[in-house]
Amino acid sequence: MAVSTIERPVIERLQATWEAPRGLRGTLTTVDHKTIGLRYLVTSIFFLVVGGVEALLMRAQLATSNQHILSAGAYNEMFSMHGVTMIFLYAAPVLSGFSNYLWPLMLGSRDMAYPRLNALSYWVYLVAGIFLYTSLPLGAMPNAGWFDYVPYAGREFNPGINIDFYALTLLLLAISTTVGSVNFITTLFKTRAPGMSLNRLPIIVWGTLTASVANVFALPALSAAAIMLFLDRRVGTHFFDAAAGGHPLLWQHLFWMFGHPWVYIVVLPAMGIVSDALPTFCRRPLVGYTFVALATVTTGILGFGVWLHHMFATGLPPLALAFFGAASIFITIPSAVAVFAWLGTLWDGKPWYPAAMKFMLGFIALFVIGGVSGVMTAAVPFDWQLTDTYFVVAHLHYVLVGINVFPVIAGVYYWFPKFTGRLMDETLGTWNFWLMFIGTNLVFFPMHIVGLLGMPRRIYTYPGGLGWDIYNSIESGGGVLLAAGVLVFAWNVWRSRSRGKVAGPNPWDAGTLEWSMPSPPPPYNFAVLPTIGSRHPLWEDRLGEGSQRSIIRSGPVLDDGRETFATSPLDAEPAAVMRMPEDSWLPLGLAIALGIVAYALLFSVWWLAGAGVLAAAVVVIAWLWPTEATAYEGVQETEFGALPVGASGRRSVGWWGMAAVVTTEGAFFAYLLFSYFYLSSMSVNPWPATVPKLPLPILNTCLLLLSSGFVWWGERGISRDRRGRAAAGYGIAIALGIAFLVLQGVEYYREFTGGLTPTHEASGSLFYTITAFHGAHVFVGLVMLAVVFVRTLIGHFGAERHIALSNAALYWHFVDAVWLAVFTTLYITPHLR
Amino acid sequence: MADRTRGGAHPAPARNEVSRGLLWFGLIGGPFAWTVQTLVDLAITSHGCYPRLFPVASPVLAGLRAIVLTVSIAALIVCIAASFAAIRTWGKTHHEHQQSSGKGEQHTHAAALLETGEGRTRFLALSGLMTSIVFTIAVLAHGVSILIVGPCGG
Repeated sequence: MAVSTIERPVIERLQATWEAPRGLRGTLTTVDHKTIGLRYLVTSIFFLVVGGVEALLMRAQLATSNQHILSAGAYNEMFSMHGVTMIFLYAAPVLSGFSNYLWPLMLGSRDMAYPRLNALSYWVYLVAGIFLYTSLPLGAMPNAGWFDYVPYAGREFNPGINIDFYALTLLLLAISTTVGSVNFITTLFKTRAPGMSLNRLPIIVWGTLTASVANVFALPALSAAAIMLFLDRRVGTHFFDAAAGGHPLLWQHLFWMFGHPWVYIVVLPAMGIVSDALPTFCRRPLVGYTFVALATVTTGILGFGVWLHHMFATGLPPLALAFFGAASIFITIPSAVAVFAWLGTLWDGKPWYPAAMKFMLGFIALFVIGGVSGVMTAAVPFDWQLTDTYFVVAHLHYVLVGINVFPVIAGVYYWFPKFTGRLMDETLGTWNFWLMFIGTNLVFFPMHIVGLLGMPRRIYTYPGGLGWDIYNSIESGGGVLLAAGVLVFAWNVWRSRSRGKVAGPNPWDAGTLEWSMPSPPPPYNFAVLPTIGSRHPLWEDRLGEGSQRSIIRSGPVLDDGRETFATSPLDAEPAAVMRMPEDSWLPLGLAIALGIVAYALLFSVWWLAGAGVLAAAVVVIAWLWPTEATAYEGVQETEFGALPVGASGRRSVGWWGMAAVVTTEGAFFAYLLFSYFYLSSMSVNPWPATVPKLPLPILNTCLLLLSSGFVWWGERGISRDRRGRAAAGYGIAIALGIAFLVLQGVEYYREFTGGLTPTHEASGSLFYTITAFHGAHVFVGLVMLAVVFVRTLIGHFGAERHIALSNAALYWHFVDAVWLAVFTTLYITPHLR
Repeated sequence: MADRTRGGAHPAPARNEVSRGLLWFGLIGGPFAWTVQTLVDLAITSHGCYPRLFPVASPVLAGLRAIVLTVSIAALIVCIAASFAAIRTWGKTHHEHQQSSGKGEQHTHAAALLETGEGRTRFLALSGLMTSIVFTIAVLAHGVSILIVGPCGG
């Protein structure tokens, strides 16, 4: 089957296999990563423009003192929508756009590991954007900032549906981002081209990988906070209600446990764009590749240990302030490493300066300014003086505009020829750069000064005579220049896509793999799957890099359907031939179902919410149903030897995806349990009011542990081809799981009648929320066990093919492990007080 | 079995010469120690200095400073151990290097490693060393703050 020359019939077969259908059907069902990537880019840049218009309205309002273009309420809505739009609908999704488009091309694969999940990620993102902006015609836009602090965001002070729009939008976006992150992680570890070991990855891949892993751990904090907020507002729970055992600072902790890692999530892939594109324009490899790769990962890790610096002014113990002040200062080390690597590359290279390079140099300058003001606010006494002033606004905009927007524009100029086959206009590009660079500095630099003069942020107007007018006027003028620069960029994109100079495969003479194919790439990406011998496959001969040479023009074709290699995590050794799914309506269907649930919850139409959940469940079952296209077909001979078509266990992409899902779910429960301990430690009254009885929970714990044992026993059976044993093990586990849920219901009844309700006080709110979420996971686990139980009886599984069975087992063990943590927290710790 | 690297050269020729456990300890030992130090010390100081709804001038938890200092010393020991593990694996994979990386024959082995990171085992070993150093510094800074800052400001 493997061939080493590319023949025309083979190309035609690949084209027919991978090309999306024409027309509306193709548009709505495609799972092509390139199409999805471009959709992400266009949609997110559209939201950048929308957020920019909101910013211009604010700048018009603040241009001089005592203006009333916007009312106080409208201004609140403007800065809230500006923040939510830029942070959630632009900054992260635009980077997903680059990574979705580029990853398979850079990694030497035919698509992402989960193409349908990729489409789902985009559709849910789009639904979330539409959902949020439904608040505009309804006159109910979120109005408590992108950080949405309680108690102002609580029902008492904000009774409309504004904040509900916010909470539900974040939950939709969490789904989109989480499935996207799981996809990136699995793609990186399982679908690289043979030979592309970890030390040969482009830096943007390191950046997106770090951001994706961070998402897996950070997003559940935001989801937990958004769920608690929605429940407080709509059900009457008391998570953030100090009068009933809750605490407003719980929101801040959860929000910034997510929020600070998110800052790095929206800059690390952008820094990766620069690390990959800048060397091309310096005509030499990046200086200090290993340092920069590690700086990326280290920044991502340290980013989790600095959340408290957003809360320095909330009254924390001095030693805690010192811990987080120190970490906030030391996080600059890896960032500085990257800056010196870029400067070293410039110093030792032969740079030339097209528009992309100008934007990258502008980025370095803005990064340094934003970084320095960040270090200043890491010093606690200094931060106390500047909290809630315009100095902080200046810092965060230098960081976000400088480290996200500028690299993004640079990336568009750099990869536009690959996207469209045409180059962007360089004259317009120069105008574009200078307008944006001067505009950015005029808008944001004076904010440092006006902040030091004491101007608070988030005020809708200010009196004259305070010395703030001149700075604000300059800022507003700079805003106009910045907007003009964005318009020039938009015009350049629009014009160049049809009238730009034809680019050819590699107009920049770049060294990475994506430039080895035609521009734009064919639907199948690679006619033959490459084997990689170095980090710069297209510069090898010139650099004399390494003793190996990449093989790009000949090799395995894999054309029996949508196929690509599954490879080993560290060294990318071929482990299996993957069968990829076809184009599908299911991602769009699931996104629409989730959108219906969100609208139904917003307007409290419970029957519609139930219908939406049911529709989503039906789509998920259809999604997971085995198909001919992805069916296991034994072993295939390739140039790398005999490889299984599809695989079970850790060789499969399915196992990695489930492991990532389990990890993020585990993080979600960790944040819920953190909330329990936090509120418990802050409670003046005994927590909980009555010590829980133990016999029933102990019995339930035994049932779940026993069920895990039977699942383990059954899975061991199928790996020895003993289907009867597998069916028996899973069947008994299902019975034990059902018994657990029944006993949980008995306990709920007992607690309810005993006076512990979700709305009585915060401990009750947490008890029911934690156990209900766990119960929901048990229910989902039971459905999974039931499906694989039936499929085992039908005879779908054997020793070489039981990935669904293994994944269900992994999920079930996870559910049981979570119960042990829940049991210890809710039932044991109250006995220890 | 057929050659799974196609061409005969594996990207990590020294992969079987070092313990994978030691390699991973070098990589994640430092971050793990720092994470535990940060979370445990934060919980202890918060509870000791801010019991319930109001702050106190001196810790309600006896020996608070000694406890958090012990946690920090333990974290420092783990970081140093991870650094030594990384140095050991780096030394053992010194030869895992492909000639003439980056700028042809002008490049030294060290420069080639930093610019191209070959091979994979050595790349991970060096990454572990750098990670351990960064997190040793972070753990030290955290520990020093215990010595110079009053736990509850009193």
